[in-house]
Amino acid sequence: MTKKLLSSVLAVVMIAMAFTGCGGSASQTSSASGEESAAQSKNLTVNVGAEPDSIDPALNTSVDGFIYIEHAFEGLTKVDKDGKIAKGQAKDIEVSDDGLTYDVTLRDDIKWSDGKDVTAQDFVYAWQRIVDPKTASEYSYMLDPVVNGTAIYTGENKDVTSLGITAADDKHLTIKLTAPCAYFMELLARPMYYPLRKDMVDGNDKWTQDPKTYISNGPYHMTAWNHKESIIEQKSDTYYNKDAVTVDQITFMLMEDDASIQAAYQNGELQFADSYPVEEQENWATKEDYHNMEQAATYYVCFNTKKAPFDNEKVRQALSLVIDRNYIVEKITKAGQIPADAFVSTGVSDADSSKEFREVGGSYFSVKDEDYEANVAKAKQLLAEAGYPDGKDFPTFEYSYNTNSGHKAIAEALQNIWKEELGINCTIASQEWAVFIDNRHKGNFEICRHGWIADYNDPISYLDMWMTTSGNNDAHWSNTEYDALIAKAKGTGDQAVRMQAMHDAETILMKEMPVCPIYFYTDVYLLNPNITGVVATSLGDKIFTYATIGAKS
Amino acid sequence: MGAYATKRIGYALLTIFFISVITFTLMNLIPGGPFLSEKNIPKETVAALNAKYGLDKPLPQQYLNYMGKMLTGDLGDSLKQKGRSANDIILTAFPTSAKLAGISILIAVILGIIMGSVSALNRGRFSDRALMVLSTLGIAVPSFVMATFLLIIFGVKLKCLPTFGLRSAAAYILPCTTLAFYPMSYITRLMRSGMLDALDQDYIRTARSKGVGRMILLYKHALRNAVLPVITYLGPLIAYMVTGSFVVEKIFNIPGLGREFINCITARDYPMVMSTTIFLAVLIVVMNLIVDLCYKLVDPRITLQ
Repeated sequence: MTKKLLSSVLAVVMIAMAFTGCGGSASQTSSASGEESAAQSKNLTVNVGAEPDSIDPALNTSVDGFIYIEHAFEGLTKVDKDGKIAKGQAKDIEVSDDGLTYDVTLRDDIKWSDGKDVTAQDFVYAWQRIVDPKTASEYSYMLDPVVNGTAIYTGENKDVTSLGITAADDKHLTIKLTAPCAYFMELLARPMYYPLRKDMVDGNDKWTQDPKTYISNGPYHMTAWNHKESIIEQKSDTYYNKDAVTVDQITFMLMEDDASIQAAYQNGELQFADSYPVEEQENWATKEDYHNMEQAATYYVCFNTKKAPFDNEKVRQALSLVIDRNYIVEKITKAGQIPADAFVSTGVSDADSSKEFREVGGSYFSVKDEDYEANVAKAKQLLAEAGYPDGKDFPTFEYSYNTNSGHKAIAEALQNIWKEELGINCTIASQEWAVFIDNRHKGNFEICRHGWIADYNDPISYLDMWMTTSGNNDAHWSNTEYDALIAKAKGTGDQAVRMQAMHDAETILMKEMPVCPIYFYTDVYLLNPNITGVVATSLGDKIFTYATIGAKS
Repeated sequence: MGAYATKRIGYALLTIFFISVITFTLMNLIPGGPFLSEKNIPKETVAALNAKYGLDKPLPQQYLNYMGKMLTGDLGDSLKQKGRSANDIILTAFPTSAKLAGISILIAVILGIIMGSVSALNRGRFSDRALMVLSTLGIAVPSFVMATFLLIIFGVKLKCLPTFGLRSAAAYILPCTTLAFYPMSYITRLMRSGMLDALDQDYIRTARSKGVGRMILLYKHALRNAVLPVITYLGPLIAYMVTGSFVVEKIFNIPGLGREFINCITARDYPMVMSTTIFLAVLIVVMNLIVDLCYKLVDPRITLQ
């Protein structure tokens, strides 16, 4: 009897052990104290993304990669603590009257994290390196405005030293542009324009891997990169503006699973989280931690304008007008996205920088709930005019998207709307990412999902991709008048003229509708309510340099 | 024994050769490539990248180059993780995976053998039923459910265990429990049926009739026979634990080999696909060889041929 009892007890104990792991471990109290200790030591532990492919300013391609880089480096200009563009490594930038020559004087007190002076040659080296085809940077096109930039990375011009940047001496730079560029000050703050140390980088593919060679000139320097785990950056004493830097150490946790990120945030192990499961949106939206800001990015549907029936403007307009965008943002995406009534998103400035391009341009079709019926009626009429009354004889077509539950939900909604309202049939096809982008570039699709995040705060970043010659023109759409307007906008520094040309171009784009905008993205994140002063821009940057911890009592 | 080992090693090399050819062919057959980007990249840039990594050469030559370099111990550079070689990546990721898998296997084997034996000895009683319910759960519940469940209970609600990484001893508890749960349940069931089988044998009855004590009977006579299926299971289990921990690594953010193994395929990171596959193939082949040799230690009746 005792034996029987004993074995039963043993079994129960083992079940209990199985649920708690090795059971009785003494080290269970080691976590969850991150929050308190962070408050004392002015350290932050945050998550802005997963393991980056590279933290080389020339090779990185992701928004989170930019964030690690921009804490470590600084360009001639920078994003200051109010989120505005301010002078960074430059003491003075003089622009010639024709807008083509920039004379730059560097600050006297700028140093690399190993104590050496930052020189004009460091900028020349970095700029020449990124346009060099051997570097194979995917973002070399960011140097298009600089004389010979394009010619060098496309291999037409073999001489990298002919790039429009020269150093007169250690402190003076001359930059030459091919055409006036109204957003050049902004470009100078982007990582592709950061200086690099030739003695560290040249001929060393692994320079980003080791803190000893990852020498940087910004407010922080990297002290450790634990792959797939964390990147740790420490405040640099060599930084000229170190007194303004309020956070001593930033630990960027590299995490990819939304549920785990959320758990770590709730547990207090993270003070900032850039993502959480979509299903949790309603829980977070009412909390103090929740932040939602507009992002310069558009989610849209791309038509293959070379394939019938999508070569017909009326068909494209009908398919676009009939979409209930409010339903999509309220019932599917749910993160406060803005129903899109144009292609250029909110969060992009106009000629008068206090106004947004979107405010001035207005809307191209109504996305108001009360106008939906009228939109549907108009769409039906357009489809009839195109020769498919009530969707009769309209061929069944395919909508493709890259495998992702969010894209799938939108695909199903579109499929349903087109069937219900227009009587046309669409199949949906999910493709793995690498296959999908390959097909999209090559035009192997009828309609596909698409999204665009602006590279810099200027509408041209959205509009020049639809020029006939653009490599990003996945709709394979061509309009000579449009091309002329974009060329005009690119050729002048006069903001009023440029913006007008771009508004006119967008009008053509939205009339012919090779692309059908669905919504403007928003950037949602969770920030510990004890922390203030985190700078977030509409390009997705998050700057922790000037944050104050425990400011709120 | 020596001849046997030589023969087995010969077969192993042949297996690995076939695996490398098949992997290389399949990898190049799937559409898409490593240098595709959402944005348009100038074709000069793509050409420069292809030339840099030798992808501009004909496929057979690429294969020979790759295998030639591999024989000298160089697994090539990752195409995606700029500035890292496949050697670097595997050498950093494998120890983490091995540690995690090692601890989990230990838990699974020890608890599994004990639970299976207890279950068999109490056949039909409450403890047997309870353990069978538990082991059925362990086999049926997928690891991501288990992981999320543990994460919410111990990480979010009780806040007593870290939710990610392996920075402290406590951090091992959740991922190891998740990883160990399935094999533990499986071993419990193997052990239970093995034990029941063994206890029915004539020699056990003979030993019992001669007055051998219960514990000695169990340890000396029954366990040895009952544990054989568990040993067979260990070979594939070890390989499964190292590669199949993808979900656990992702949820608990552990920098292990499982994530590398899966992610390099989506990224079309060719050298990484080749090296992780071959690395794991070698691991599986070696584990199976060791398991076969272990049979002889446990059961001298088995002859290796």
